[in-house]
Parts: sequence; C-alpha cells; structure tokens
Amino acid sequence: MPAGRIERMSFFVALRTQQRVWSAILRREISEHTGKYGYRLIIGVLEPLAALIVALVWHNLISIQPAYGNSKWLFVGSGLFPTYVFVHLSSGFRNVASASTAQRRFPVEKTVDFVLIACFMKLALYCYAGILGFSLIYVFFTPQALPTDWAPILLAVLAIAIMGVGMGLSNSALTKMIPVWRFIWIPIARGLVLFSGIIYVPDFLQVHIRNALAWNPVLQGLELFRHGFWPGYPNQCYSPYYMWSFAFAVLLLGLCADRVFRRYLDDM
Amino acid sequence: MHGRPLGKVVETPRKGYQNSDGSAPTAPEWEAPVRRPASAGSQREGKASVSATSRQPDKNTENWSLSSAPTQYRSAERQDSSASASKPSPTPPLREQTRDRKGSPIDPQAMEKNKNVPRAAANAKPLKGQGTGPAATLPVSVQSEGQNGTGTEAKSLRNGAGSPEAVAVAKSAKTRGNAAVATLPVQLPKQRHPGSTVEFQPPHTSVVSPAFDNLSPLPQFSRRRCYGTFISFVVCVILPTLAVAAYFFHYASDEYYAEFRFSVQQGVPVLPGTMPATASAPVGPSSSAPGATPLQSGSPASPLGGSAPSPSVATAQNFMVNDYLISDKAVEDLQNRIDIKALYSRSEINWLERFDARRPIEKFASYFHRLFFWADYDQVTGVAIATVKAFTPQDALLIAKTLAALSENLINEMNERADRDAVRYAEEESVRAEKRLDEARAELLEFRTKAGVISPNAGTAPSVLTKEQLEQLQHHAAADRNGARAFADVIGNYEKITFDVQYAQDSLVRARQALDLARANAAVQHFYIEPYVTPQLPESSAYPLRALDTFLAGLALLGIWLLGLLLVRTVQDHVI
Repeated sequence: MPAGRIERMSFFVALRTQQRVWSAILRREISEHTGKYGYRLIIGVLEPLAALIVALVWHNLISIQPAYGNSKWLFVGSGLFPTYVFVHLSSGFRNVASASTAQRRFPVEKTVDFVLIACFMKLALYCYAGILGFSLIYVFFTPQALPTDWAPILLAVLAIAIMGVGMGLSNSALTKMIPVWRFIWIPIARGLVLFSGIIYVPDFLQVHIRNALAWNPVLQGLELFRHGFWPGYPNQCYSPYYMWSFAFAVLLLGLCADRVFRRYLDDM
Repeated sequence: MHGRPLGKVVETPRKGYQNSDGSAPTAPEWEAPVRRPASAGSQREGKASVSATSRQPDKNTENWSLSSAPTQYRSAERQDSSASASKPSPTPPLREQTRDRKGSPIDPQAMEKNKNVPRAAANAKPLKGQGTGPAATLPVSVQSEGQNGTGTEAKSLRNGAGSPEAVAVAKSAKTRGNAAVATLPVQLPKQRHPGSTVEFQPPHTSVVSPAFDNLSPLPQFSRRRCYGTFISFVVCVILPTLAVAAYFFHYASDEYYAEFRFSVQQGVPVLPGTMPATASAPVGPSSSAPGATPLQSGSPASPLGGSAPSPSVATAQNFMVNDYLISDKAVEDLQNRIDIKALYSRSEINWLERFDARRPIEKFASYFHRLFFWADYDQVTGVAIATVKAFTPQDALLIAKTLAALSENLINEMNERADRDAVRYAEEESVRAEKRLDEARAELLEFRTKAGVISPNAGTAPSVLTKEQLEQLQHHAAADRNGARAFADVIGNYEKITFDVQYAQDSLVRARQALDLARANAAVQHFYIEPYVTPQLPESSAYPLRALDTFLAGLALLGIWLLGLLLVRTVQDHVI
C-alpha cells in the first residue's frame, strides 16, 4: 500500500461499531423513557394492559360469548396482543426519523439505528405487558392462558414484529416524503383491529368473507398466535408461506425506503 | 517549498529583431523564483517589481538553502512590516532542504553547482535553442519601459548579470529595506535579445500560503474495486436460480395428483315401530338435525361473538376422519394394503425426491405427509378435502381410493363398536327381565299353593260349583266368621304378587323390544362417508409448476440477497 493511504474499516469492525452505537442509543432511550421517577416506563407497560382491560370489560357488559374456548378474556386477549404489537410498531416511527436528527450526537449514528432501537424498545415493552396480562388471566380466569405450545407464539410474535418494523421504516420514510401519508396510515392501522379476527374466528365465517380476510397478514399472525393456546384452533385461513413472505417483503421495502430517502430523512 | 515559482518571467523579443543566424527569435521562458511584489495591487496587475530571491550558501549544510526563503513567502501584509524586514532569514530545517516542492530528492551536487543560482532557475526548463546550463537569473526589474529605458535597472537588463548596474540594483534593493525585494546575482539567458521586454506573468493558480507547500498530501482511502456485490449476486441469485431451473426443467419427475372430497353423514336412526329400510336416506346436515351447520341451516354465523357451528356427532366424525388421514396410522394401513413405500421408491423417480425404502415407516410418514398428501376439513361447509400426489397416475388413483376406503372402514369400526355395545346392553336387559318375571311367577305359585286360592279377587261366584268347591267354600265361610282379617291379608298378598308378575312381564316386553331395536340399528350404518368427489385417474401431470416455481425461487433468492445486501450496507454505514 502506498504511503499516505489508509485501509477501510473491516466489516466486522463496522459491525462492532454498529453494536456500540445501538447500545449507546439504547441506554439513551432507556434513560429517557425512565425519566426521573420511571413513570414513563410504567405508563408504557400499563398502556396495552389498559387497552386490553377496557376491551374485555366492554365485551363482558354486552355479554359476548367467546367464539372459541371457554374464556372470553383469553380469547379477546389473544387477539388484541398481536394486533396491537403490529399497530404500535408500524405507527410509532413517524416522529422517530425527525427526532433522530436532533438526537444524533455523532455522525456514525444513522436514522435507521434510532428507528430499530425504538422498535426494539416498543416490542420489549409489549412483550413484558403481554406476559403480565396473560399471567393475570391465568391466575384469575382460566388455566388455558398458559400456552400449550410456545413455538407458535414465538414465531407469531417474530413475524408480526418483522412486519411492524418493515412498515415502521416505510412509514417513517413515506411520512417524510408525503406528509399526508400519516393521515392515510392511521385509519388503515385502526381498521386492522376490526379485520384481524380479534373477537371472532374467521374460519367460522362465510367462505367468501373468510377468503377476503385471509389477505390480512396480521390475521395470519393472530391465527398462529392462537394455535399456541388452542392446538385445535381452526386454520383454514392460515398460510405460513404468505405470512412469512409478506413479513420479509415489508422488511425489504422498509430498508429500501430508508436507503433511498436517507438524504431526506437525515435533513431537518 | 523553496523555489516554488510565484510566477514566471517571459521575455518577448522585439518585433523585427532577428537572431544572428537570421532565424526568428523565440520567446524564451524561464521560471525564476520571484518574490511577491511589495504592494498587493501591483501583484494583481501582474507587472510589478519582482526580483529573484537572494541565495546564500549555507555553509553548515551540504545543500545550499535559501536563507531568505521564509521571508519570501510571507503574505503581502506581513511583508510590509519593517520589523521582519531586517531580521535575518532563519535557516530552513534540514528536512526541507533535502526535498523540493514535489517531494523529490534534490541532487546535492546539482545544488552545490547552482548554489548561487535560484533553485527554480536551476531547475528551470532550458531555453529553446539553448544548451543546458545554469539558467539565467537576474535581478529583474520589470518596467513598462522595458530594456530601452535609461534607468539603472534597464541597463542591468541590457548588460546582463555581473554588470555593475546589476550589482547596484541589488544593493539598492537591500538599502531600501524592502524585505520583499532581494537580489541575486543572476544571469540572463544567452539568447536574450536586446530590446526585448520582460514581463512577469502571475501564476494561473492562486498562491496559497507557502508554509504548506512542503506538506505531504493528505492520506487517501485505499481505492480498490470491490466485486463483492457482483460476486454475491452471482453466487446467491444467479447460480441457484439456474440450478433450480435446471432441476425443474431437466431433472424433476412429473407428479400427478388425485383428490377426493367427502363429508361424513349421519344416517337416520331406527325409531321404535319403524322399519330399518327407511334409514338409508341420510338426513345429514339439515335444519333440524343436530349436525346442521349455520351455513346450511340458513342462519349465517354472526361475526360478533363468532358463533361456532353447533357441535354435533357428525362434525366430530368429520374431525376424526380428517385427523386419521394425516396420522401415521393411515400410512401404516396403506403400507399393509398396497405397499406404499415401494410406490415412492421406484428407480424412475429422481434421487432427490425418491424415498429410500430401507428407512422406517415413521420417516416415510413424515415424508408422505409433508410432500405428497394433505387433508383439511371446513367446519362451515362441512366438507373435507384430501389430495394425494404420486409419480404416476395409477399410483395417485390407487392411493386416493385406498384412503377413501380406509376412512370408511374407520367410520364403520366406530359405528360397529357403538352398535355392538347397544345390542349387548339390550340383551342383558332382556335377560334380566326374563329372570325377574320367572321369579314373580314362582312367588305367585307359592302363594296359591299355600293359600289354596287360585284367585281370591274373583268378582262373581261360578254358577256351577263342584262338590269339593262347595265344601271348601263352606269351610272358608265358617273360618271367616272368626277370621275375616286373615282373608284380607290373603287378598293383599295376592295383589302384590300379581303386580310383580305383571311388571315383570311388561319389563320383559320392553327389553325385548329394545333388543330388537338395537339389532335393527346395528344393521343400519349410522355414519358413512359421502364422497361427492371421487378420485379420478389423472391424465396429465399437474406438478411441478416448472416456470412458476423457478420464478418464485429466483424471486425469493433475489429478495434474500437484497435483504442481506441492505443489512450489510447498513452495517457498513458505520464505518468510521
């Protein structure tokens, strides 16, 4: 190598640098979420629990019987949890991209790092809230809240997390480029609550309705999630190939959007 | 570094002047390390009093140096200061003395030879037509009047270096205290034409601070062409896709599929008093049957609350059949009937899809259910679908028909057990009833024997009595005068016994009827498979979908490669 020339950093060194960046951003986010008294963290855990409790109280008041199983708390809770994970992962990054520019301390910190760490934080909070919620259901309502098979549950959460991250990255880029996109995505995300099979079993519906609902990838993840509690849960709509293909396609789309619009994301 | 020209001196011959040999004069060019003029304005104009730097040999070093070099490259403002003008020029560091501006080493011998000559002049390009020799330097004072002037400087131009006028010019520059001006004994080129004008041409590029002239260039990132992306694309996408295409189009075996669709129907139970023949019409899913689904009953399932189809025995039977088809037991039964492993172990099948017959049946069951068979039951429609794939049409049809038969055998076995139990229970009940009746009759006989009365409750006396009956009646009448109570007891006992006998008779009748009914129901098939789509012999292979599978494989590989590339690029963005 001629004098006066330096070699580029190797991939593994860059990977280690990225890990250090992530750990630094993570510590920063934790301290920010914890606040002085930690109330923000508590609110982050209690929010999904509160949503679940409100939905379940409402269903109790109108006396809806569970469509499957013997506990409406477990049935509705097993539908709310994966749907909310996706909705909050995909919708919570509109401001992260903008805020990351102000929070950035070093040039090595990229917008995608902030988005991924924010996603990880949200997922961890929701998983913690989910474990807490299902534990309460197990204690007070039904022993079926203890999963019979953990593999479908973990796979479902993973698939939904990948979908959420991909859509989050895409939304953060699209919102920067098309400000009106946030007003388009919000009703879509909220509409998923109705079309994801939270309070009903899609397999018990009419065939043409079921075939239309099967295109919802969140519903696919929800059906896989419920298989962890009820092994005999109907799986007419469930297609693992479609679910995983959609998840990785969305993740690819999100990464591409981040790279294509990076210049706009990094600008204030 | 020292000797960096701040401009160049161009000598333009006078018009009409010719060389001694008659050739046209050429404009000699030589670069001289000229000082920046004292005034900035004159510098910008390009015509200013410039002089070559003075050079004094450094006796302490091998290489001569520009003793006044540091002052030479000061800014115009700093050069105006008088304080710096009188200071002697410090000796440049040894490092700077061994290399020129471009970093190439300086020949000490050449430097020694040219120690009295400005460096730039020593390294200047030789004049056109002039031999290699020390370039001429001159305390040139560029004046608009050129060499035709009458001043001392003009005379020095004409007379050349070493002339008294040149020395005088050098001394005057020093005495003026102008640090920007210093003189050197210079020598004009030999072919300098008298009367020619000498102009100072400023450099084309802006002059940076001379202090940085000798700095080494900034380090650059090593630029090397990276073929990793292209190589990874070829290795991860192109080659595997080509391999997949080659496999599907040249190597993969054709696969034929046969399917059958069925529904487990519930037959009409035999009711008491009806003939079993009417039970052949299946009731199955209807609005009144317990196995009716919401779809078929005309009331669609409500989306709110998701009312499930009413669980019925028929639904349970459907689930059982579907579960049996995807179980290992079905594969074992197929193996016992048609040796299914041999059908998938033929040598005609490509080795990648062929099953090794030496492997156990459990492995074959996993292989079969994963690649060549699937079954599903729809609770809403009550329809079950089973699809079989094989490497020949005959195999597919054979396996499908065998599976349908096995499913029906399963249903029949479940029905037989239920019917057998019902019949057995009815027979036991009948036997008990008979036994009870026999006991009751024996008790009645015993009573009649003891009491001596056939039927104490007889309402009318016979019109014709025998002699014995008359004596018996007189005897009873005489006894009853004193024992009317005993007669009542007899009647009571008689009624009790007769009731028992009557009940036993009725029980026996019912038991026998139940037995007959159970036997009749056992003769009727309660649950049976209704294959409304029977397996057919396939005419052409439906799998594999070569073009589509190849395209999907390429698409999947491309997506995976893109994903990996983006992840790697994301990591590489953190290169410091």
